[in-house]
Amino acid sequence: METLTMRLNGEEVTVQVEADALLIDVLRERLGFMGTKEACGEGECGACTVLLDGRPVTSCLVPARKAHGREVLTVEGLASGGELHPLQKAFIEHGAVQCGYCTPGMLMSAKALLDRNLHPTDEEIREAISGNLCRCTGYVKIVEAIKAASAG
Amino acid sequence: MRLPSFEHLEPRSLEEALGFLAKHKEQAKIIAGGTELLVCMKHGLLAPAYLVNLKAVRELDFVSEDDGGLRIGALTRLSTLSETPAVRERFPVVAQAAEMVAAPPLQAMGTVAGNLCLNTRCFYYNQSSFWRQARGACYKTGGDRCHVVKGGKRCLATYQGDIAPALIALGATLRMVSNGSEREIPLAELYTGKGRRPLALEPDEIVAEVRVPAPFDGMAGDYQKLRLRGSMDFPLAGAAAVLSRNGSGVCSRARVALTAVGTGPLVVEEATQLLEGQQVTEDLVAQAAEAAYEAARPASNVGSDASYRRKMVRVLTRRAILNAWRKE
Repeated sequence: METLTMRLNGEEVTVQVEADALLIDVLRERLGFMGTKEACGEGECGACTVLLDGRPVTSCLVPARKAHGREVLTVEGLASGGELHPLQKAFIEHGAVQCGYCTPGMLMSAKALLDRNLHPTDEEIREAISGNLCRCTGYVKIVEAIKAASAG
Repeated sequence: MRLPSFEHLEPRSLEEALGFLAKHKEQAKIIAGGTELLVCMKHGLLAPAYLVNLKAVRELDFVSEDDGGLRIGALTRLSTLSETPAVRERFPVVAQAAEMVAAPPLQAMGTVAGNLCLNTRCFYYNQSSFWRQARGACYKTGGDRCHVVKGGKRCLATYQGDIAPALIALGATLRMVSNGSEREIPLAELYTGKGRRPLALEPDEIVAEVRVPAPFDGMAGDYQKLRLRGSMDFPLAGAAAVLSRNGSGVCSRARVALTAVGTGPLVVEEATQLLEGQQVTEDLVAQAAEAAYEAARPASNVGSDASYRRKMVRVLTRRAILNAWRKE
């Protein structure tokens, strides 16, 4: 067992993990943060995307120990003070959610984009979510939602 | 999906990392971005007893300018590579290729050396152990046959890296280090073309950095990639061209390299011979593209049909050369 200390959604968390533990499993199984979903397990679908030091990464391919001493943001960390994040509100308002399985990953990729670029073009939005697969809505409503949550 | 168990080693310096590799040899694997290694481990293709994680070896994470050229540390993230001003402005073909790798999360994780050292890939290899059990071992997994070409005498698994052809066309070299020694080789020589052991990298060796020589006068490059989706996919064929134009409008240097149409990246030497010393015309570009078509050796083991991919080499090479020539 190894010690993993990270800032998770703004709070310091310490947990003992196996050397071969993956970040997604630690988040879901050990810490109960079930918002992050696993689908393909191979980094292809983006469902498990979280932010590691502000960068989107597929947590199914991140050894948990790699997050040691770093900041991790999951979908649970978006809302604050009982208020949904503007991106979450926009996803609801624009019908950008159907089954919801890709949504946490989509939100995190969108967050990473807007943190760097408050005025993204449609092309930049599409590029930012190009690692996230959605099998229900198509991408138009998701792009619209992200656009609406941006500063235009 | 579970990972097979392993021991996790976290060296603090390159020297310590090399010590671990020298001690554990084939038992150890280097992990940097993990985007390829962990998938292979989940599929049961690799089960190293030790993972040597380079994340704390900061001395391998840098991009610097050197005598007009570039030095790119092995641990440089692909996203960092494409965002670095010196790369974007002076070697844009490298940024262009790095931005075409997979998707943003994988570019934020994957490293330069990891992408260069991609294992070769095949429909019959990159599968779960359960899936592979049904057919038995092939050359790539230690067996005595090829599932792609019946009666085939060797492994035809395909090299599908995106940044290698661009860097090869720029004349990049690699600095590789092991315990107590180091060597520098042209990047193209990293690739053996052998399916089972596609990289000329010893088990105790680490790729430390990529060196790109100073741009030649009037140089420009372009990379063209064929894939089924606009994102995520490995190339099904790719062509990089780097051309220099001298003051009198003549091509003074030309390099064309292909990816995903052979067991390693391919350098199209005939294209160099055709283009250098000439005014670049549509007709000449068509001849160079034909030479690339002739050199390409795709097998029907990734993405789509081999003959289609081979025909597309002609198209991609033509576009890459013309774009490079017109950019300059």
